[in-house]
Amino acid sequence: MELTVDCCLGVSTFCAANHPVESCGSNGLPLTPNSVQILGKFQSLSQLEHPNLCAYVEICRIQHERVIVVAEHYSTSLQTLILKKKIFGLDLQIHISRSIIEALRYLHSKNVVHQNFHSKNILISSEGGVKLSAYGIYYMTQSSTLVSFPIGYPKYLAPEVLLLGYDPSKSWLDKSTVCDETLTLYSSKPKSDIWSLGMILLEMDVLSVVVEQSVQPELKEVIESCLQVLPENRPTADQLLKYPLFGSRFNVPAAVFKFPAQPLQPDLLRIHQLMSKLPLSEVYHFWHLVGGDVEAELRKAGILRNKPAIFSLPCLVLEEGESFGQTKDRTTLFDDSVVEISLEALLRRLQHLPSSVFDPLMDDVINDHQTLREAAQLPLVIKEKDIDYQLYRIVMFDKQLRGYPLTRQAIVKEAREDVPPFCRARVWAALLKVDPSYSAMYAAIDKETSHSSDRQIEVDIPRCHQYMDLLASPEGHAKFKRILKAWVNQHPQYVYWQGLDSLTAPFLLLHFNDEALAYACLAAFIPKYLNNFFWKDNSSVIQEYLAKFSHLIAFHDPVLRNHLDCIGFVPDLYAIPWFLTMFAHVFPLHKIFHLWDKLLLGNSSFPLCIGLAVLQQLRESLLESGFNECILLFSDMPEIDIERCLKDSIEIFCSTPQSVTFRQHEPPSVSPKGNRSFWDFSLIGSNSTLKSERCPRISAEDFIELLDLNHKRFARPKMVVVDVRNANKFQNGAVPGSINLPYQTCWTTDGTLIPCEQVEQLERARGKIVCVIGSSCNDLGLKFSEILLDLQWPRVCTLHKGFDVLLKTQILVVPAAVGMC
Amino acid sequence: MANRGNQAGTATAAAGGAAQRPNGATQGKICQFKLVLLGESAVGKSSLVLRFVKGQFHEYQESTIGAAFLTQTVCLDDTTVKFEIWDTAGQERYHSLAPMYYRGAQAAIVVYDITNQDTFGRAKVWVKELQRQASPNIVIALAGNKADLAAKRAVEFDEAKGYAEENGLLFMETSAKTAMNVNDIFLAIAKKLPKNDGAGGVGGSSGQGRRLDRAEDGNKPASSCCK
Repeated sequence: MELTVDCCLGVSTFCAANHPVESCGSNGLPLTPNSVQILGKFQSLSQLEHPNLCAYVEICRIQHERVIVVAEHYSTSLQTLILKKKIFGLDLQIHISRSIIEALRYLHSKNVVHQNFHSKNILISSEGGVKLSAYGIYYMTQSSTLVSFPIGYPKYLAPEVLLLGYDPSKSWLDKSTVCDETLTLYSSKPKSDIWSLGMILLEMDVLSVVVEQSVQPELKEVIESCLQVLPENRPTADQLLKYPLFGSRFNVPAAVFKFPAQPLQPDLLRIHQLMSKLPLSEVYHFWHLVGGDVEAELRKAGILRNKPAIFSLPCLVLEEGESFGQTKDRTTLFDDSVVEISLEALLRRLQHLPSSVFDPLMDDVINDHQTLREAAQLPLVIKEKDIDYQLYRIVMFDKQLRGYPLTRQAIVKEAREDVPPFCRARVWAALLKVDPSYSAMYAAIDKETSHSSDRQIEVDIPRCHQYMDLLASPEGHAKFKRILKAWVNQHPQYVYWQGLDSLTAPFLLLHFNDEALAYACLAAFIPKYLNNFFWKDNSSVIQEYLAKFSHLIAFHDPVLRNHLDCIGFVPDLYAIPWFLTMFAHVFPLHKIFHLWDKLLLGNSSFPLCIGLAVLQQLRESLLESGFNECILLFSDMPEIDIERCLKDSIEIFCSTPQSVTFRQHEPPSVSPKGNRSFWDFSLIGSNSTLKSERCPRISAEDFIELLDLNHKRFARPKMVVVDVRNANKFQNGAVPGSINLPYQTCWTTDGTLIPCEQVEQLERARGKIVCVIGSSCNDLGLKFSEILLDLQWPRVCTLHKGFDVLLKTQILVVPAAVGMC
Repeated sequence: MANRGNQAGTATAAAGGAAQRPNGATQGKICQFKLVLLGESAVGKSSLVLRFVKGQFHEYQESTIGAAFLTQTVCLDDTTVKFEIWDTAGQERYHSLAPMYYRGAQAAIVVYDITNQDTFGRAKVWVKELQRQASPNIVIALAGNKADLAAKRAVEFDEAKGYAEENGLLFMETSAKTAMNVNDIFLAIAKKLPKNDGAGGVGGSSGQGRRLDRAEDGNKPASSCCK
């Protein structure tokens, strides 16, 4: 569907009802503000899609329980036409009625009751399209229970709705305390909408009757059937469409209905043509990026007025919080005016963009346009606000995502650059290789049966990232619970650990309207990054992970590692929530989004590097602090620059031999190059051995790769090899270029290396990876590397399994030959 | 962000009570004690600590994973008592971590929610475990939290009081939300703790409460520590 020239954004606003002061829900927590509940209900409305409905685009909350709703809008309404005394020919009447009925049929199939009929809420586009607007307010306010004003125009309301009357006492009913029957009793039904439809048709018809003095008998039947007093006697929308009147013989000649819209300036036609192919929500996103502000628009239109707070103070407040003597604030009353926001300003802002930006796959857009190329280098937070760059990225991702799963590689490639927030939800799903049939899989999972972890889930959800309105809304809580229950149910080998809630939150927020996809992402994320972490007894998994973390710290930052070790500040004390939730428990969600944008591109060891990057960002304070200060520092996570942290993590990742972070519990598919036999976990034994070793081991595979005998991989050698076996053994065969420092004889009495030529050689190599090779029958290699660590030597590791592992590799030489090499 | 910083207006006043912060003039002894909070999840352990240490209250206090650590100092006559507070995760599954935190603790607050009978049962289990496995002289206090929700009470005051007396526990009903009895329960513990040189660790010299017992870490002997 293309946006017509006269399509604009319509902004309307109303206030949710306030809760009585100091009331709290059954769980002791404060009642969710009604505006937050409305926000949650709105989300499914934004998913409705029908040619005869104005699409809902966005909702936001501002202070004083006020919500602002943005929707598709057209300036001409049925009311405008009626007021112009336009005569509706039969064709036109049929066209309009059929459009409305189609819209109603769709709404009712989605369990949405309109209730808010008025001829001004039936909009007509310049192409002749008939579109209902403001149809969602009754639904999003939970049958008007969340607002303190009635919804619907009496002239159009069905008799049964009027009879029930408006009961202000129900406006603040807590849904959890009211039984469903009460709600059903007070709620309007689809049949009430049919009455309203009848009234609308009558209004159109009466006009023609008055002017043309003739009755249109075909319509009379329809109107009469709609205006039955008993709801059960009225037809459904579906039945109405079967009336012969709406058969195909009355095709509306398009020309009859067209009327000239305000023509667009000729210079904007090209960009409008390009933009009109984008979904309205995307256009709104761009309008927002160029500085659009709905609140400001409402203020400009005089709908929001600021009143000094002192004027709203009541005269008398009782101890219980009841207040008296305050005149009703008119601004909280319902005002149905819609502020139209023209998209012209946006078009004008974008008109300099070349058409190729809208077809990024055909051209090498980024290299053709210097501004885009420059924008790509900007800091993340700035380029996310750069309209030109975002437009280019979003259009490009849109095209790629449409081709998923075939285009997955291209998506990964682009995501390495950055992920536009507007596309993040779909990009993440692609990065996690979510199966396109996820909906059916989710539908088949039991999410209802009670389970032993229910209580825990129930107490955790209302505490998880509740500063995000959507996650705090009842809709959000319900979805949250279903996803967690589905996961627990679907993974009998695992159990619910606190922290799973934090892991779910980013996915739920991104895929709020696609619960199944949120679940699918979670279910794909856990095995990739948290394999076995949710075992009932997960201590071996966590201990291994933390031991590897300690090794990584020692490898890259021996000074920090030695300090932390010395004050007893072990990762067990602070890093469990980091890794168990992949930082989702320690950072706010807007940071998690950036963090996970990159995390999702890495393997299961990458989070360890992020952990080290976090430590390094706080390095100065940590080095100055004792145990208490250190742990206090982490009990309230200090401000971390995520972009810098990620840059550092990637650097750490690239400069760490893969085997340093090898874990027994890592997901099987990611073990490097498949040759795991080199790496024999049985030799390491229990986690306590792993924990007691302070330096990492590397595998023979990594060793040979880093040694790079043929100088194929690296321009300069990356690694220096120290052989600590005794000189005799060394003479019989050694790694080319290795330095022999026999463990037994190389130390001074105070534990430093006895100066000699080999030590100088080693000193010159400081900063390179130092791989210590010991004999396979003792642990002197390990000991040597630990002493180097004590001497604050960076990048020290030990060859796993010792010298013998190299016997089969044919790289060994007799040292006499070394010099000739 | 408004939801996040939802603090009660009385926050600072509650924490800034006369007995709270050490003033420079204190000349007496300084004692350092390790205190651990235990109890079912969502009973308000973290909220009690937050109220005691920072004078704040967050309606949507996030769940604790693993444990959190905070310190607070109270003045008692001529003694300054410094609490090192380990706030543990409540979920049963984190139970295996708990000994790491209560080992060497001189005091414990076992918390339950007065609106939930099950949490009281869980508190009894914790008391039993502490009596069996923690240091023999540990001072245990039982806190019936969420006393502001008295209308939804499920655990009678007398029932808990009786249980506490039988087991020699300090007992108070508290409310982290209104700050009721929060400082008092910590003060009561401070009073009951022995402040002679042998027990509490004067001036942090013993350091018993400072570090976790690392015997199981298999690391190099703690004696090499440089602090």
